[in-house]
Amino acid sequence: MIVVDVSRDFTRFPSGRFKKNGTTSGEGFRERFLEAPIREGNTVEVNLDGTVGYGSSFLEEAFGGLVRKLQLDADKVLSLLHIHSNDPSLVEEIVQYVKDADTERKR
Amino acid sequence: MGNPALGDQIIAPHRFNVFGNDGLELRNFLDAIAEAIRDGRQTKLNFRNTKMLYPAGTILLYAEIDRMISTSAHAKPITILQPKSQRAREVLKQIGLFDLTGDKCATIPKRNDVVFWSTAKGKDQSGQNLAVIEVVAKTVKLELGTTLLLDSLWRGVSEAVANSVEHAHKLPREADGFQGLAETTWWMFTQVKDDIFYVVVCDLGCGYRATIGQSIPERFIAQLSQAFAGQNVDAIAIETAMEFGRSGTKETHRGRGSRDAMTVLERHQNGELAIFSNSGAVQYQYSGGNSIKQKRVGLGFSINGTILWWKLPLKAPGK
Repeated sequence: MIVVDVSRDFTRFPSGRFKKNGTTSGEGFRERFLEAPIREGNTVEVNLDGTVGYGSSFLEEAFGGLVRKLQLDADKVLSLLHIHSNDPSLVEEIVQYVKDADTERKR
Repeated sequence: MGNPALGDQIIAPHRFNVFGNDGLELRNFLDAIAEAIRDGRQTKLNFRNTKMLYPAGTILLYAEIDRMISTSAHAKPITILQPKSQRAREVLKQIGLFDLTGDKCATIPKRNDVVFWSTAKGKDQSGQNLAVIEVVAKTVKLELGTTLLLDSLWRGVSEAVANSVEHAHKLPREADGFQGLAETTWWMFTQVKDDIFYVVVCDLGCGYRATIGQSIPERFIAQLSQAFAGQNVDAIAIETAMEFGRSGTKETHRGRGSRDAMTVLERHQNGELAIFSNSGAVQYQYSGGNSIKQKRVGLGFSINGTILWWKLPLKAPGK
């Protein structure tokens, strides 16, 4: 299992969707920490605590973007992601983004 | 706006505000400066009688002055004649307006309702550019003993900035074809006054109406336009973006950012949000965790950009 702590390993100030628009984006986080292990079928434990907060663009692109980029089913992605947060609503939000991305992909 | 008796001076408004006659006066003031800059004239801005500076009006002033100086051929196109009012002078010093224009001001801000003004600006949405939010939250806790919900504030403000970076300059703005600065896309102020926290984010882009069609389905826009027919078109565009985010549609992964602005109020339970885009605005108010007001407003002029403004009481009502 690969463990990623967003505040320790990436930034305390996650913000925005795309790499082209800034250094702390969801796309940047996904490419650096999530894509390779998920593609290879490894489990990734992501700790969300310790940052100043998260916007929906960052979360959607980081996690929903996995479905779009790797062309995987939501069930597969969610089975390999273990998300930890003191705020349960963040975990629920991420799960929803992954499922929504899958629905959109299959449309 | 120029007064021949004062030479090539442009008289600043008494109040920097975006509503009503104040807003129109601010618009005329900014247009007069822009015209002078376009004509290649060096201009004096006479702030002698300026007394009141509200966050939304003041950030528009700051952003436009920054834009005009950045695009001027002159090394120093604007000179400021300082306000007689000590408080107004302190505010302009605190936000860094004299630094923008290159004018000296010996005033040292010390008033309690001034020293909590802080300024940030940036080109992209990198989170470290917004770290001032965390600093303010810590200061509020230290100085006032009350807590700002940093995570929800971060969500609203960072998404406002992300929206500006992604959408503001997709098209030239209608009024003058401005297509953005290379070095700055957004401006932000925070302020604490009378136990109320204010944060305001501004861009000088094309506005909601020009770009919602790129991230929101046409039939959704048509439904809202029909429902609010006859009302201000920019206010309808703002409401469309907000409503699209609220509906939680699964049609697209885009369009949720506007909704994050509202999350700040929902989580804080009490406070106000106003979103201004060109000639329209929508105001939201929460009390005790419930939405108690939602109002569309036509400004009667265009701010030529977008402003998101939050007002959050730092103490619950009655305490």
